[in-house]
Amino acid sequence: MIKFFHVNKSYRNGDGAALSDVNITIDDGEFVYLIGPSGAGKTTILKLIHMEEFPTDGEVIVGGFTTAAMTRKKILTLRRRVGVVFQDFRLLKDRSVFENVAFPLRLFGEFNPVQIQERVDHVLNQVGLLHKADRLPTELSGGQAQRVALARAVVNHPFVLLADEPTANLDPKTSEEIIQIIRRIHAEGTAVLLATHKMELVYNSGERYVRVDRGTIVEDWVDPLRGVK
Amino acid sequence: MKPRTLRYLALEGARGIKRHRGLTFTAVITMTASLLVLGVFLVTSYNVRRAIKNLESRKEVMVYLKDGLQPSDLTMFENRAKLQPAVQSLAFISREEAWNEFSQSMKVEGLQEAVGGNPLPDAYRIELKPERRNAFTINALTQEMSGWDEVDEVFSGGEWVGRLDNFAKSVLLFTAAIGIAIGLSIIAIVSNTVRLTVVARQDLIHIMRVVGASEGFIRVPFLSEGVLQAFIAALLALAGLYGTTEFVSARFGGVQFLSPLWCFGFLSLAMLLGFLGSAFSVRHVLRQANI
Repeated sequence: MIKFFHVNKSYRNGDGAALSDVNITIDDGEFVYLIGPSGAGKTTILKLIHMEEFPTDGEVIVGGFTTAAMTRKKILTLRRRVGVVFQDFRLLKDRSVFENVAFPLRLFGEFNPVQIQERVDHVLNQVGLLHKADRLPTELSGGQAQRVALARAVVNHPFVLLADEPTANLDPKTSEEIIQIIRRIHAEGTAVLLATHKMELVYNSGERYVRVDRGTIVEDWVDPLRGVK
Repeated sequence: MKPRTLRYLALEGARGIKRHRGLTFTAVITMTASLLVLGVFLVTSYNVRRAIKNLESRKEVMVYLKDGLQPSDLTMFENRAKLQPAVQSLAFISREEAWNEFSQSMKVEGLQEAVGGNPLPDAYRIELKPERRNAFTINALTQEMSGWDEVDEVFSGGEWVGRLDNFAKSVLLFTAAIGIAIGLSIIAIVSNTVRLTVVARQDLIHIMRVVGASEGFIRVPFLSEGVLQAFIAALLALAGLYGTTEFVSARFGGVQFLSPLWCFGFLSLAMLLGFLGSAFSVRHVLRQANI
Protein backbone atom coordinates (compact mmCIF):
# COMPACT_ATOMS: atom_id res chain seq x y z
CA MET A 1 0.00 0.00 0.00
CA ILE A 2 1.12 3.54 -0.79
CA LYS A 3 -0.16 6.48 1.24
CA PHE A 4 0.49 10.21 0.99
CA PHE A 5 -0.51 12.19 4.12
CA HIS A 6 -0.68 15.97 3.63
CA VAL A 7 2.51 15.93 1.59
CA ASN A 8 4.18 19.20 0.65
CA LYS A 9 7.31 19.33 -1.39
CA SER A 10 9.47 22.30 -2.31
CA TYR A 11 12.77 22.08 -4.14
CA ARG A 12 15.65 24.15 -2.87
CA ASN A 13 16.05 26.09 -6.12
CA GLY A 14 12.49 25.72 -7.36
CA ASP A 15 9.86 28.39 -7.81
CA GLY A 16 7.19 27.75 -5.23
CA ALA A 17 5.88 24.37 -4.08
CA ALA A 18 6.17 21.31 -6.32
CA LEU A 19 3.42 19.60 -4.31
CA SER A 20 0.84 21.08 -1.92
CA ASP A 21 -1.12 19.05 0.60
CA VAL A 22 -1.23 15.86 -1.46
CA ASN A 23 -3.25 12.97 -0.04
CA ILE A 24 -3.48 9.72 -2.01
CA THR A 25 -3.93 6.07 -1.11
CA ILE A 26 -3.05 3.33 -3.57
CA ASP A 27 -4.01 -0.17 -2.54
CA ASP A 28 -1.97 -3.30 -3.20
CA GLY A 29 -2.40 -4.49 -6.75
CA GLU A 30 -4.26 -1.35 -7.86
CA PHE A 31 -3.84 0.30 -11.28
CA VAL A 32 -3.74 4.11 -11.12
CA TYR A 33 -3.03 6.66 -13.80
CA LEU A 34 -1.36 9.85 -12.70
CA ILE A 35 -2.29 12.50 -15.20
CA GLY A 36 -1.62 16.16 -15.68
CA PRO A 37 0.37 18.57 -17.82
CA SER A 38 4.16 18.77 -17.80
CA GLY A 39 5.47 20.29 -14.57
CA ALA A 40 2.27 19.45 -12.66
CA GLY A 41 4.13 17.33 -10.09
CA LYS A 42 3.67 13.78 -11.44
CA THR A 43 7.37 12.94 -11.46
CA THR A 44 7.78 14.41 -7.97
CA ILE A 45 5.08 12.03 -6.71
CA LEU A 46 6.91 9.07 -8.30
CA LYS A 47 10.24 10.22 -6.84
CA LEU A 48 8.69 10.46 -3.39
CA ILE A 49 7.43 6.88 -3.69
CA HIS A 50 10.86 5.73 -4.87
CA MET A 51 12.37 7.87 -2.09
CA GLU A 52 14.69 9.71 -4.40
CA GLU A 53 13.09 12.78 -2.82
CA PHE A 54 11.57 13.35 0.61
CA PRO A 55 8.59 15.50 1.54
CA THR A 56 9.18 18.94 2.96
CA ASP A 57 6.11 18.33 5.14
CA GLY A 58 3.81 15.37 5.62
CA GLU A 59 4.54 11.68 5.24
CA VAL A 60 4.73 9.08 2.51
CA ILE A 61 4.30 5.39 3.37
CA VAL A 62 5.37 2.82 0.78
CA GLY A 63 5.01 -0.90 1.46
CA GLY A 64 5.54 -0.49 5.19
CA PHE A 65 8.37 2.04 4.86
CA THR A 66 7.70 5.59 5.98
CA THR A 67 9.58 8.70 4.95
CA ALA A 68 9.45 9.74 8.59
CA ALA A 69 11.87 7.00 9.60
CA MET A 70 14.03 6.03 6.66
CA THR A 71 17.64 5.03 6.76
CA ARG A 72 19.96 4.65 3.79
CA LYS A 73 19.72 0.87 4.11
CA LYS A 74 15.93 0.90 4.21
CA ILE A 75 15.81 3.08 1.09
CA LEU A 76 17.90 0.52 -0.79
CA THR A 77 15.69 -2.32 0.45
CA LEU A 78 12.60 -0.41 -0.70
CA ARG A 79 14.08 0.29 -4.13
CA ARG A 80 14.71 -3.39 -4.67
CA ARG A 81 10.97 -3.95 -4.27
CA VAL A 82 9.88 -1.13 -6.59
CA GLY A 83 10.11 -1.30 -10.38
CA VAL A 84 10.69 1.90 -12.35
CA VAL A 85 10.50 2.76 -16.04
CA PHE A 86 11.25 6.09 -17.65
CA GLN A 87 10.25 7.72 -20.90
CA ASP A 88 13.84 7.54 -22.18
CA PHE A 89 14.15 3.78 -21.38
CA ARG A 90 17.60 4.14 -19.75
CA LEU A 91 19.03 0.91 -21.03
CA LEU A 92 22.73 0.08 -20.90
CA LYS A 93 23.68 0.36 -24.54
CA ASP A 94 26.86 -1.65 -24.18
CA ARG A 95 25.20 -4.97 -23.32
CA SER A 96 22.55 -7.27 -24.72
CA VAL A 97 18.83 -7.20 -23.99
CA PHE A 98 19.27 -10.29 -21.80
CA GLU A 99 22.06 -8.66 -19.77
CA ASN A 100 20.05 -5.45 -19.33
CA VAL A 101 17.17 -7.41 -17.85
CA ALA A 102 19.46 -9.66 -15.78
CA PHE A 103 21.34 -6.66 -14.37
CA PRO A 104 19.29 -6.19 -11.16
CA LEU A 105 19.47 -9.93 -10.49
CA ARG A 106 23.21 -10.17 -11.01
CA LEU A 107 23.88 -7.05 -8.97
CA PHE A 108 22.88 -8.47 -5.63
CA GLY A 109 24.10 -12.02 -6.12
CA GLU A 110 20.88 -13.56 -4.78
CA PHE A 111 20.30 -15.81 -7.77
CA ASN A 112 22.38 -18.46 -9.45
CA PRO A 113 22.84 -18.44 -13.23
CA VAL A 114 20.05 -20.99 -13.80
CA GLN A 115 17.54 -18.95 -11.77
CA ILE A 116 18.61 -15.79 -13.61
CA GLN A 117 18.12 -17.49 -16.97
CA GLU A 118 14.64 -18.69 -15.97
CA ARG A 119 13.50 -15.34 -14.60
CA VAL A 120 14.85 -13.29 -17.51
CA ASP A 121 13.40 -15.69 -20.08
CA HIS A 122 10.03 -15.46 -18.32
CA VAL A 123 9.83 -11.65 -18.34
CA LEU A 124 11.23 -11.36 -21.86
CA ASN A 125 8.54 -13.76 -22.96
CA GLN A 126 5.99 -11.67 -21.07
CA VAL A 127 6.98 -8.55 -23.04
CA GLY A 128 7.31 -10.53 -26.30
CA LEU A 129 11.04 -10.06 -26.79
CA LEU A 130 12.53 -13.45 -25.97
CA HIS A 131 13.69 -13.73 -29.58
CA LYS A 132 15.66 -10.47 -29.22
CA ALA A 133 17.55 -11.52 -26.08
CA ASP A 134 20.94 -11.33 -27.77
CA ARG A 135 20.39 -7.99 -29.48
CA LEU A 136 21.87 -4.70 -28.33
CA PRO A 137 19.48 -1.89 -27.30
CA THR A 138 20.72 0.16 -30.26
CA GLU A 139 19.25 -2.45 -32.59
CA LEU A 140 15.75 -2.06 -31.13
CA SER A 141 12.87 0.28 -31.93
CA GLY A 142 11.60 2.70 -29.27
CA GLY A 143 8.70 0.41 -28.38
CA GLN A 144 10.97 -2.60 -28.09
CA ALA A 145 13.43 -0.66 -25.92
CA GLN A 146 10.59 0.33 -23.59
CA ARG A 147 9.49 -3.29 -23.38
CA VAL A 148 13.03 -4.25 -22.33
CA ALA A 149 12.91 -1.50 -19.69
CA LEU A 150 9.60 -2.94 -18.46
CA ALA A 151 11.09 -6.43 -18.29
CA ARG A 152 14.03 -5.11 -16.24
CA ALA A 153 11.63 -3.26 -13.92
CA VAL A 154 9.58 -6.36 -13.11
CA VAL A 155 12.25 -9.10 -13.17
CA ASN A 156 12.69 -8.69 -9.40
CA HIS A 157 8.92 -9.15 -8.79
CA PRO A 158 8.26 -5.64 -7.42
CA PHE A 159 5.06 -4.96 -5.51
CA VAL A 160 4.60 -1.74 -7.45
CA LEU A 161 5.63 -0.56 -10.91
CA LEU A 162 6.22 3.18 -11.32
CA ALA A 163 6.04 4.23 -14.96
CA ASP A 164 7.04 7.81 -15.71
CA GLU A 165 5.63 8.78 -19.12
CA PRO A 166 6.49 5.37 -20.59
CA THR A 167 4.74 6.18 -23.87
CA ALA A 168 5.85 9.78 -24.27
CA ASN A 169 8.31 9.02 -27.07
CA LEU A 170 6.15 6.42 -28.82
CA ASP A 171 3.52 6.52 -31.57
CA PRO A 172 -0.14 5.77 -30.63
CA LYS A 173 -0.04 2.14 -31.80
CA THR A 174 3.17 1.35 -29.92
CA SER A 175 1.88 3.26 -26.89
CA GLU A 176 -1.16 1.02 -26.85
CA GLU A 177 1.06 -2.07 -27.01
CA ILE A 178 3.08 -0.82 -24.04
CA ILE A 179 -0.09 -0.15 -22.05
CA GLN A 180 -1.29 -3.67 -22.81
CA ILE A 181 1.97 -5.13 -21.50
CA ILE A 182 1.69 -3.02 -18.35
CA ARG A 183 -1.86 -4.29 -17.91
CA ARG A 184 -0.59 -7.87 -18.18
CA ILE A 185 2.03 -7.12 -15.52
CA HIS A 186 -0.73 -5.64 -13.37
CA ALA A 187 -2.89 -8.71 -13.93
CA GLU A 188 -0.16 -10.80 -12.30
CA GLY A 189 -0.61 -8.81 -9.07
CA THR A 190 1.77 -5.87 -9.35
CA ALA A 191 0.34 -2.46 -8.47
CA VAL A 192 0.93 0.12 -11.21
CA LEU A 193 1.24 3.88 -11.01
CA LEU A 194 1.52 5.24 -14.50
CA ALA A 195 2.23 8.94 -15.04
CA THR A 196 1.21 10.33 -18.40
CA HIS A 197 0.04 13.51 -20.07
CA LYS A 198 -1.74 11.52 -22.81
CA MET A 199 -5.32 11.84 -21.57
CA GLU A 200 -6.67 9.72 -24.43
CA LEU A 201 -4.95 6.67 -22.95
CA VAL A 202 -6.77 7.22 -19.68
CA TYR A 203 -10.31 8.41 -20.11
CA ASN A 204 -11.70 5.36 -21.84
CA SER A 205 -9.68 2.83 -19.87
CA GLY A 206 -12.05 2.63 -16.93
CA GLU A 207 -9.09 2.67 -14.56
CA ARG A 208 -8.75 5.00 -11.62
CA TYR A 209 -6.93 8.20 -12.39
CA VAL A 210 -5.51 10.95 -10.21
CA ARG A 211 -5.23 14.34 -11.91
CA VAL A 212 -2.51 16.66 -10.73
CA ASP A 213 -2.23 20.31 -11.57
CA ARG A 214 0.31 22.78 -10.19
CA GLY A 215 1.23 20.43 -7.39
CA THR A 216 -2.24 19.70 -6.10
CA ILE A 217 -4.64 16.80 -6.63
CA VAL A 218 -7.56 18.25 -8.56
CA GLU A 219 -9.40 15.02 -9.30
CA ASP A 220 -9.29 11.44 -8.03
CA TRP A 221 -11.66 9.43 -10.20
CA VAL A 222 -12.61 5.82 -9.52
CA ASP A 223 -15.12 3.95 -11.64
CA PRO A 224 -18.22 3.74 -9.42
CA LEU A 225 -18.88 0.30 -10.80
CA ARG A 226 -15.38 -0.97 -9.92
CA GLY A 227 -15.74 -4.25 -8.12
CA VAL A 228 -19.26 -4.64 -9.43
CA LYS A 229 -18.26 -5.37 -13.04
CA MET B 1 28.40 -7.90 -0.25
CA LYS B 2 28.30 -11.47 -1.52
CA PRO B 3 31.43 -12.88 -3.25
CA ARG B 4 29.36 -13.52 -6.39
CA THR B 5 28.35 -9.85 -6.43
CA LEU B 6 31.88 -8.62 -5.78
CA ARG B 7 33.14 -10.75 -8.64
CA TYR B 8 30.40 -9.49 -10.95
CA LEU B 9 31.06 -5.86 -10.07
CA ALA B 10 34.85 -6.21 -10.34
CA LEU B 11 34.43 -7.87 -13.74
CA GLU B 12 32.06 -5.06 -14.65
CA GLY B 13 35.07 -2.72 -14.27
CA ALA B 14 37.21 -4.94 -16.49
CA ARG B 15 34.38 -5.08 -19.05
CA GLY B 16 34.21 -1.28 -18.87
CA ILE B 17 37.79 -1.12 -20.11
CA LYS B 18 36.93 -3.34 -23.06
CA ARG B 19 33.68 -1.53 -23.86
CA HIS B 20 35.14 1.97 -23.72
CA ARG B 21 38.41 1.40 -25.52
CA GLY B 22 38.82 5.02 -26.65
CA LEU B 23 38.36 6.43 -23.17
CA THR B 24 40.53 3.73 -21.66
CA PHE B 25 43.28 4.49 -24.16
CA THR B 26 43.20 8.20 -23.25
CA ALA B 27 43.16 7.42 -19.53
CA VAL B 28 46.00 4.90 -19.73
CA ILE B 29 48.20 7.18 -21.85
CA THR B 30 47.67 10.10 -19.46
CA MET B 31 48.42 7.91 -16.47
CA THR B 32 51.48 6.42 -18.18
CA ALA B 33 52.87 9.92 -18.81
CA SER B 34 52.31 10.89 -15.15
CA LEU B 35 53.78 7.64 -13.88
CA LEU B 36 56.80 8.10 -16.14
CA VAL B 37 57.51 11.38 -14.33
CA LEU B 38 57.22 9.53 -11.03
CA GLY B 39 59.39 6.73 -12.40
CA VAL B 40 62.17 9.08 -13.56
CA PHE B 41 62.13 10.59 -10.10
CA LEU B 42 62.26 7.13 -8.50
CA VAL B 43 65.13 5.93 -10.71
CA THR B 44 67.05 9.11 -9.89
CA SER B 45 66.51 8.81 -6.16
CA TYR B 46 67.19 5.05 -6.32
CA ASN B 47 70.58 5.72 -7.91
CA VAL B 48 71.40 8.59 -5.55
CA ARG B 49 70.55 6.37 -2.58
CA ARG B 50 72.68 3.60 -4.04
CA ALA B 51 75.62 6.02 -4.43
CA ILE B 52 75.21 7.25 -0.86
CA LYS B 53 75.04 3.69 0.43
CA ASN B 54 78.18 2.87 -1.50
CA LEU B 55 79.95 5.85 0.04
CA GLU B 56 78.64 4.96 3.48
CA SER B 57 80.13 1.49 3.20
CA ARG B 58 83.48 3.26 2.94
CA LYS B 59 83.02 4.96 6.28
CA GLU B 60 85.78 3.26 8.18
CA VAL B 61 88.40 4.17 10.76
CA MET B 62 92.11 3.59 10.15
CA VAL B 63 94.19 3.22 13.32
CA TYR B 64 97.96 3.55 12.87
CA LEU B 65 99.98 1.84 15.60
CA LYS B 66 103.22 2.86 17.32
CA ASP B 67 106.38 1.01 16.37
CA GLY B 68 107.74 -1.89 18.39
CA LEU B 69 104.49 -3.33 19.76
CA GLN B 70 104.48 -6.93 21.00
CA PRO B 71 101.86 -9.50 19.87
CA SER B 72 100.33 -9.27 23.36
CA ASP B 73 99.85 -5.51 22.84
CA LEU B 74 98.03 -6.22 19.59
CA THR B 75 95.78 -8.77 21.29
CA MET B 76 94.98 -6.27 24.02
CA PHE B 77 94.18 -3.60 21.40
CA GLU B 78 91.89 -5.95 19.52
CA ASN B 79 90.03 -6.96 22.67
CA ARG B 80 89.48 -3.34 23.70
CA ALA B 81 88.43 -2.35 20.17
CA LYS B 82 85.87 -5.14 19.96
CA LEU B 83 84.28 -3.89 23.14
CA GLN B 84 83.43 -0.59 21.43
CA PRO B 85 79.69 -0.67 20.58
CA ALA B 86 80.21 0.92 17.14
CA VAL B 87 82.83 -1.58 15.96
CA GLN B 88 81.65 -4.39 13.70
CA SER B 89 85.01 -5.92 12.76
CA LEU B 90 88.65 -5.05 12.51
CA ALA B 91 91.39 -6.20 10.18
CA PHE B 92 95.10 -6.04 10.91
CA ILE B 93 97.24 -4.59 8.11
CA SER B 94 100.92 -5.18 8.70
CA ARG B 95 103.42 -2.52 7.59
CA GLU B 96 104.62 -4.95 4.89
CA GLU B 97 101.13 -5.43 3.49
CA ALA B 98 100.59 -1.69 3.57
CA TRP B 99 103.81 -1.07 1.74
CA ASN B 100 103.02 -3.66 -0.92
CA GLU B 101 99.65 -2.08 -1.49
CA PHE B 102 101.18 1.40 -1.60
CA SER B 103 104.03 0.52 -3.92
CA GLN B 104 101.71 -1.34 -6.26
CA SER B 105 99.48 1.68 -6.48
CA MET B 106 102.48 3.99 -7.11
CA LYS B 107 104.02 1.64 -9.71
CA VAL B 108 107.53 2.99 -9.20
CA GLU B 109 110.58 0.68 -9.25
CA GLY B 110 113.06 0.87 -6.32
CA LEU B 111 110.84 3.07 -4.20
CA GLN B 112 111.82 1.42 -0.89
CA GLU B 113 115.52 2.00 -1.54
CA ALA B 114 114.81 5.58 -2.47
CA VAL B 115 113.03 6.39 0.80
CA GLY B 116 115.43 4.32 2.89
CA GLY B 117 113.22 1.43 4.05
CA ASN B 118 109.51 0.96 4.78
CA PRO B 119 108.26 4.06 6.62
CA LEU B 120 104.68 2.80 7.05
CA PRO B 121 103.36 1.67 10.44
CA ASP B 122 101.22 -1.39 11.30
CA ALA B 123 97.54 -0.50 11.25
CA TYR B 124 94.02 -1.69 11.86
CA ARG B 125 91.15 -1.04 9.44
CA ILE B 126 88.02 -0.83 11.58
CA GLU B 127 84.64 -1.48 10.00
CA LEU B 128 81.69 0.12 11.75
CA LYS B 129 78.21 -1.24 12.27
CA PRO B 130 75.91 0.19 9.51
CA GLU B 131 73.64 1.99 11.98
CA ARG B 132 76.65 3.64 13.67
CA ARG B 133 78.19 5.07 10.52
CA ASN B 134 77.53 8.70 11.43
CA ALA B 135 79.80 11.64 12.07
CA PHE B 136 79.07 11.81 15.81
CA THR B 137 79.99 8.17 16.51
CA ILE B 138 83.03 8.24 14.24
CA ASN B 139 84.38 11.39 15.90
CA ALA B 140 83.77 9.94 19.37
CA LEU B 141 85.54 6.69 18.45
CA THR B 142 88.45 8.57 16.89
CA GLN B 143 88.87 10.64 20.04
CA GLU B 144 88.62 7.57 22.27
CA MET B 145 91.18 5.51 20.35
CA SER B 146 93.60 8.40 19.96
CA GLY B 147 94.17 8.20 23.71
CA TRP B 148 95.12 4.51 23.74
CA ASP B 149 98.80 3.62 24.42
CA GLU B 150 99.25 1.47 21.32
CA VAL B 151 97.86 4.10 18.97
CA ASP B 152 99.98 6.58 17.09
CA GLU B 153 97.28 8.18 14.96
CA VAL B 154 93.63 7.65 14.02
CA PHE B 155 92.26 8.65 10.63
CA SER B 156 88.56 8.68 9.91
CA GLY B 157 88.07 11.37 7.29
CA GLY B 158 85.81 13.06 9.90
CA GLU B 159 84.85 16.13 7.91
CA TRP B 160 83.65 14.34 4.76
CA VAL B 161 81.67 11.90 6.89
CA GLY B 162 79.77 14.84 8.39
CA ARG B 163 79.19 16.32 4.95
CA LEU B 164 77.99 12.98 3.60
CA ASP B 165 75.58 12.65 6.51
CA ASN B 166 74.15 16.10 5.85
CA PHE B 167 73.92 15.39 2.15
CA ALA B 168 72.12 12.07 2.77
CA LYS B 169 69.63 13.80 5.08
CA SER B 170 68.99 16.55 2.52
CA VAL B 171 68.51 13.98 -0.23
CA LEU B 172 66.04 12.06 1.95
CA LEU B 173 64.02 15.19 2.74
CA PHE B 174 64.14 16.40 -0.85
CA THR B 175 63.04 13.07 -2.30
CA ALA B 176 60.25 12.74 0.29
CA ALA B 177 58.95 16.25 -0.51
CA ILE B 178 59.15 15.79 -4.29
CA GLY B 179 57.69 12.28 -3.99
CA ILE B 180 54.65 13.54 -2.06
CA ALA B 181 54.16 16.42 -4.51
CA ILE B 182 54.34 14.11 -7.54
CA GLY B 183 52.08 11.56 -5.81
CA LEU B 184 49.43 14.20 -5.09
CA SER B 185 49.54 15.56 -8.61
CA ILE B 186 49.19 12.04 -9.98
CA ILE B 187 46.12 11.46 -7.79
CA ALA B 188 44.66 14.68 -9.23
CA ILE B 189 45.48 13.65 -12.82
CA VAL B 190 44.20 10.10 -12.34
CA SER B 191 41.10 11.42 -10.60
CA ASN B 192 40.31 13.78 -13.48
CA THR B 193 41.06 11.12 -16.07
CA VAL B 194 38.91 8.52 -14.36
CA ARG B 195 36.17 11.13 -14.03
CA LEU B 196 35.92 11.10 -17.83
CA THR B 197 35.09 7.40 -17.76
CA VAL B 198 32.76 7.80 -14.79
CA VAL B 199 30.84 10.66 -16.41
CA ALA B 200 30.62 8.67 -19.64
CA ARG B 201 28.93 5.88 -17.72
CA GLN B 202 26.45 7.85 -15.68
CA ASP B 203 23.70 5.68 -17.14
CA LEU B 204 25.19 2.70 -15.31
CA ILE B 205 25.36 4.66 -12.05
CA HIS B 206 21.78 5.84 -12.47
CA ILE B 207 20.40 2.38 -13.16
CA MET B 208 22.32 0.93 -10.23
CA ARG B 209 20.79 3.59 -8.00
CA VAL B 210 17.30 2.98 -9.35
CA VAL B 211 17.44 -0.75 -8.68
CA GLY B 212 18.64 -0.18 -5.11
CA ALA B 213 22.42 -0.47 -5.28
CA SER B 214 24.31 1.17 -2.44
CA GLU B 215 27.17 3.59 -3.09
CA GLY B 216 29.54 0.77 -2.19
CA PHE B 217 28.09 -1.38 -4.98
CA ILE B 218 28.26 1.51 -7.41
CA ARG B 219 31.89 2.29 -6.60
CA VAL B 220 33.29 -1.23 -7.11
CA PRO B 221 33.27 -1.32 -10.95
CA PHE B 222 34.88 2.10 -11.17
CA LEU B 223 37.47 1.31 -8.53
CA SER B 224 38.42 -1.94 -10.23
CA GLU B 225 38.55 -0.11 -13.57
CA GLY B 226 40.78 2.64 -12.11
CA VAL B 227 43.12 0.11 -10.48
CA LEU B 228 43.35 -1.94 -13.66
CA GLN B 229 44.03 1.13 -15.81
CA ALA B 230 46.72 2.27 -13.36
CA PHE B 231 48.28 -1.22 -13.43
CA ILE B 232 48.47 -1.20 -17.24
CA ALA B 233 49.84 2.34 -17.20
CA ALA B 234 52.44 1.40 -14.58
CA LEU B 235 53.61 -1.58 -16.67
CA LEU B 236 53.96 0.69 -19.71
CA ALA B 237 55.77 3.31 -17.64
CA LEU B 238 58.15 0.67 -16.25
CA ALA B 239 58.87 -0.57 -19.77
CA GLY B 240 59.57 3.00 -20.88
CA LEU B 241 61.78 3.62 -17.87
CA TYR B 242 63.69 0.41 -18.43
CA GLY B 243 64.42 1.39 -22.02
CA THR B 244 65.48 4.89 -21.02
CA THR B 245 67.69 3.64 -18.18
CA GLU B 246 69.40 1.12 -20.45
CA PHE B 247 69.98 3.82 -23.06
CA VAL B 248 71.43 6.29 -20.53
CA SER B 249 73.50 3.56 -18.91
CA ALA B 250 74.94 2.48 -22.26
CA ARG B 251 75.83 6.07 -23.14
CA PHE B 252 77.05 7.41 -19.81
CA GLY B 253 77.25 4.37 -17.52
CA GLY B 254 76.59 4.12 -13.80
CA VAL B 255 72.77 4.31 -13.91
CA GLN B 256 70.89 1.25 -12.69
CA PHE B 257 67.24 0.29 -13.24
CA LEU B 258 65.00 -0.18 -10.19
CA SER B 259 65.42 -3.41 -8.25
CA PRO B 260 62.52 -5.94 -8.42
CA LEU B 261 61.41 -4.78 -4.97
CA TRP B 262 61.26 -1.16 -6.12
CA CYS B 263 59.39 -2.23 -9.29
CA PHE B 264 56.86 -4.05 -7.13
CA GLY B 265 56.57 -0.96 -4.93
CA PHE B 266 56.08 1.22 -8.02
CA LEU B 267 53.28 -1.05 -9.34
CA SER B 268 51.60 -1.14 -5.93
CA LEU B 269 51.87 2.63 -5.56
CA ALA B 270 50.41 3.16 -9.05
CA MET B 271 47.46 0.89 -8.25
CA LEU B 272 46.92 2.71 -4.95
CA LEU B 273 46.93 6.03 -6.82
CA GLY B 274 44.48 4.58 -9.36
CA PHE B 275 42.25 3.43 -6.52
CA LEU B 276 42.35 6.82 -4.76
CA GLY B 277 41.83 8.73 -8.01
CA SER B 278 38.80 6.60 -8.88
CA ALA B 279 37.40 6.85 -5.36
CA PHE B 280 37.58 10.66 -5.47
CA SER B 281 36.01 10.95 -8.90
CA VAL B 282 33.16 8.50 -8.22
CA ARG B 283 32.37 10.27 -4.96
CA HIS B 284 32.42 13.60 -6.77
CA VAL B 285 30.13 12.37 -9.56
CA LEU B 286 27.72 10.72 -7.12
CA ARG B 287 27.45 13.91 -5.11
CA GLN B 288 27.09 16.13 -8.15
CA ALA B 289 24.54 13.93 -9.88
CA ASN B 290 22.43 13.45 -6.74
CA ILE B 291 20.88 10.32 -8.21
